[in-house]
Amino acid sequence: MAKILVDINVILDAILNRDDDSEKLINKLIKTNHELFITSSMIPILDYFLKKYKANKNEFKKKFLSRFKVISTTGYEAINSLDFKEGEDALIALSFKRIAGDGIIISRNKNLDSFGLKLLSPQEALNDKNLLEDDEIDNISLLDLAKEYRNIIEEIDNAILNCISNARYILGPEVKKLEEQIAGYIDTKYAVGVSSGTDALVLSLRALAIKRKKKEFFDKEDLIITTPFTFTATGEAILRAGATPLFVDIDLNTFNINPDEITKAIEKYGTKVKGIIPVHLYGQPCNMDKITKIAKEYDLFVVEDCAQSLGAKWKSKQTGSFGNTGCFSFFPSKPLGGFGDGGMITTNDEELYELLLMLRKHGGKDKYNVDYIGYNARLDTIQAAILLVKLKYLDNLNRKRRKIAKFYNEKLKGVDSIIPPYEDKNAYHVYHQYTVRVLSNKRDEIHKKLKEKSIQTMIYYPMPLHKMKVFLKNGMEVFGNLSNTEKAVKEVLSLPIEPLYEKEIFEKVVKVLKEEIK
Amino acid sequence: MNDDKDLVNALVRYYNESKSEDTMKKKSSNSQKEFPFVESLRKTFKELPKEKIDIKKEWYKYLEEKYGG
Repeated sequence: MAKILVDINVILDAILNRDDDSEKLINKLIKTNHELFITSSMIPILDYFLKKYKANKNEFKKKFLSRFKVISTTGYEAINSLDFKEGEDALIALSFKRIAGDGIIISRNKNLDSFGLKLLSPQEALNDKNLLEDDEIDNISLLDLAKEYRNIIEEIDNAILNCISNARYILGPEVKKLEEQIAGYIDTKYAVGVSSGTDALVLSLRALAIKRKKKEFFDKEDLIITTPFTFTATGEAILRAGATPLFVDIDLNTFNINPDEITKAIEKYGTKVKGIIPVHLYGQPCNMDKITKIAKEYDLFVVEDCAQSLGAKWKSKQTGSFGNTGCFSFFPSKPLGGFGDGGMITTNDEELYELLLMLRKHGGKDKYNVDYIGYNARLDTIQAAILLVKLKYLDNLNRKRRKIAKFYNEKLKGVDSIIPPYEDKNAYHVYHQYTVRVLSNKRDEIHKKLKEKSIQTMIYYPMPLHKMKVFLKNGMEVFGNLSNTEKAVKEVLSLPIEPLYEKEIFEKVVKVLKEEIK
Repeated sequence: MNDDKDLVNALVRYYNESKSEDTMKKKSSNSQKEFPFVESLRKTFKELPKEKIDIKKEWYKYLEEKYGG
């Protein structure tokens, strides 16, 4: 799939002059999976002809932008373009090259300095069968974050430039706005923007220690139940808050912590257990009916690890709205990913909310006379600005992920040695990862073979927390033999799930997977 | 009572989730496959040039008239 910049003259020739080659070419290009672009420097020419021939601009915009993206030209590129004989052309090529180092330019001007990018005339492009017919699929990655950026490039660029110009870099208005929107989306009273999903967990636990124990940190004897089948941050946060993780096994169907095992662990460890951190792994919600019931019965807090589950629901209720807090991550690959680290804590508890506001800002309302041992853990304004744009598309992208999962499920059903993911009937899984189990010790071999065929798959996670040096060294408790977790780490394989990929890509993944599993 | 509520919730959930979960389409532009894109853009114009125009020449002429001495 190529990134193609089409000169505005070619587009106008097609529309206004009914130039046969240009018209055929554009009509063919829009049927491909290629990404099509013009630059913002071409807009004045377009505008002139739209006005001259009395076009309905809104209608034109809507139709045109359904397929073409507009790349910003920066002042820096404009200055550089003056170094070239044809500055106007140089500006176009320089701007395009920034976002598409492997792009193709289609222009009638054969003298256009394309700065090493492939340059084709409309006629040449029409004759290029590879370009128009053979939509070859090269590397298939798990996600394509650059493609996701290009898909909303105009809005993102605008948000970043506005944010930079306004210079409210720390806790600017975008942070507040995002907090309000996330609280509204999750349906909690409050949301607090923090610097990462990990910090969301740490701050939540610290706030709970202050509220429930009247101490800065938990004690080492305090146990917090969680799953060993998660990213290290979940367990790390427990240690950083002073407590000890108590690892409880998962349900092999959902990969999530098994509530029945939680009850048994509490029965064994008694009042040492202070809370539960369920992780909605891969975007599949935990059984929150059972977990909240257990927490209520034993007076435990619940901190939901929603790092992978923004938009996921348990019985129509958003994850992050069940526990004392919900902890979200905006790591770039997450369902709502920023351009760096970021996180959010949701809560209905006013006291926790006030504590969280203090903890993220060095531990006090008055930064020159703080109350608690705090952190420098604020969400950057620029990340909030980007996330506000991306939040609008979250539900749509989650729906696309679910469609991809449905497709995979249908195609992989009954395939030998493959167990597609299970979705609980009460769950709205958002498939942050589409993770299958590969049986018969074939997982690592399949992972390698798909890589050789340029298909990226990932193993989330190859090592359970209870086997990691950090927990062996710093303390943990293990309930039972964790046999399901031990099995999962050897069998799980996450397949490509980029919501902007077309069906052909997933067809290829399935085809190669079926061939290699034989 | 709770069972009824759960059933209603389940139905609402099913409706909301199923309405948006059609089969994945092949290529985003599939719906446009039969759709003449250029013609649809052309239809947004009330007028069209009677004869072939030189886009670049006309644009430069416009700039000259607007900004030229």
